[in-house]
Amino acid sequence: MKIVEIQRLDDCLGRSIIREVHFDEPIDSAFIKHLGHCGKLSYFKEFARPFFRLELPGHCTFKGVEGALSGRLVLTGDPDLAVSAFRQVVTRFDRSQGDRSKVTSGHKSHPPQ
Amino acid sequence: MTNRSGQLYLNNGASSFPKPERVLREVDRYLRGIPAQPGRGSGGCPTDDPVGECRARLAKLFLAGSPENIVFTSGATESLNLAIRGLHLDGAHVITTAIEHNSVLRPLYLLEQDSRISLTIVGCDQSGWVDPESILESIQPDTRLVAISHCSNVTGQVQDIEAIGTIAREHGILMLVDAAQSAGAVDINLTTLPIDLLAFTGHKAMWGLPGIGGLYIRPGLYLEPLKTGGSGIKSALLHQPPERPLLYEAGTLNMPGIVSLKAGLDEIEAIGKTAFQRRAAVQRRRLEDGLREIEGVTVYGASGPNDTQPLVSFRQSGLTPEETSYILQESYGIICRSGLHCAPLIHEYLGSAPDGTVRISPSWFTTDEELVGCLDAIRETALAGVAQ
Ligand SMILES: Cc1ncc(COP(=O)(O)O)c(C=O)c1O
Repeated sequence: MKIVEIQRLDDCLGRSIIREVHFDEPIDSAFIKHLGHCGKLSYFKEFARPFFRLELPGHCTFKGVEGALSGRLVLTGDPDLAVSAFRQVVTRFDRSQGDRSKVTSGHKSHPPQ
Repeated sequence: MTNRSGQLYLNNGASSFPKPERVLREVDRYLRGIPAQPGRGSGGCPTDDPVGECRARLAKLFLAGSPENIVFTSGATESLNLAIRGLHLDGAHVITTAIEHNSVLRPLYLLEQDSRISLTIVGCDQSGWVDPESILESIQPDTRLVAISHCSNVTGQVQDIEAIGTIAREHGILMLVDAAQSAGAVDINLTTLPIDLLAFTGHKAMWGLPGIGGLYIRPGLYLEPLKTGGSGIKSALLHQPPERPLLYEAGTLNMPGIVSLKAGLDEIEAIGKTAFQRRAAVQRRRLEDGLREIEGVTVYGASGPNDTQPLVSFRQSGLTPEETSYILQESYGIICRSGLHCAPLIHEYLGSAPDGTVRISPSWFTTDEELVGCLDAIRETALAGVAQ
């Protein structure tokens, strides 16, 4: 899973700094579960298209739906640091490691202490 | 109406979609013919005069008297700029309100910043209602203009422009109305309403293309034009022809836009204004009532007898508006809008600052089932708020 582009979004969305993150392959459940090891994850499998939200406290929130080629990054901290923290999350994803997460629908997962 | 890719468009407050078949057909027909020439009809059909016909249609819709009282612009934004700048307000006091769109606020703030006017922003209540009394209380000896939106693009609240206009007129103050959200959807009778300038856009309730709109200018009221240039006729004159509408319509007009607007108005007439308005009121009621039943939802906008616009703002507890609209769009294919809606001041009054609201705005084409589906999706979305 690689980031292809991080695009600036700029409209009347209020005051948040928002980026659209484009990937080279669709976001799948393995990737979403990986996110659960990196921050606070909420995963809603029961939505028409399963929705997830990852919080990296002090940095950003990343959200999206399963099957999409992009997700939305809302920057809450310093933009450069937040983007690099998120890049690290993606880099750490190793598909061969499989699904190690215990995230269940609508529940939060916290990173291992 | 759900499109081919299964998306449900509920952002008609921004721009209407879909356009009626009649609009698509007429624009297609226009674009395939030889372009119309001002004052000479179009090449495709010598009897066609889309500009004159559309102008006459608009004058009839607004009961604006002579069609020449309507001038075409690129939309409400240009119309409002033409009105605000064209009045030469130097040294005057202007009253506007917290419900305004940036297309009113920014031209006024610019004049204020350049010390050309002084400005009073009148507040509103939690539904976006502006009390006419508060306009009265803000009047100063040098007040020359009251500028107000007819219908809030955030709450759908329709203002009592008759009462406000009457107050303005009694004090010799000009009244400018931003009818971007109401034109075509709410009755506007310029024969009886005390309005001097009415700005409208064509791509919302009137089903035209983006980039067409207009301004009603009361007979006898002079505005300095924003632009000068070719008028297609009277080419020997070295100055802009002084008569309306040529004075304000320099340059080639947006003909596809004008054709689309005329077709949109024809469609509204074919449906019948009463049926159109009744359906809009029912949709608003369904949406508002449905939203109020969902746990954790705060609806912005009360429902008075004037609240007939199918445009409702809300928020869900535990979710930012951006998040709600994101989930609706990405998980459910429902396109609505979140944020400040280019009306930055109203949110302090609604209690929705600093992130704004989620706005749902269906259209004539939105079915009851689609509205129910949307409410169901919002109900499910609430789960994400609870999990926060
Ligand atoms: C209340 C209001 N005024 C003005 C405008 C500007 O209209 P336009 O973009 O067509 O110029 C809008 C459009 O969103 C609006 O909602």
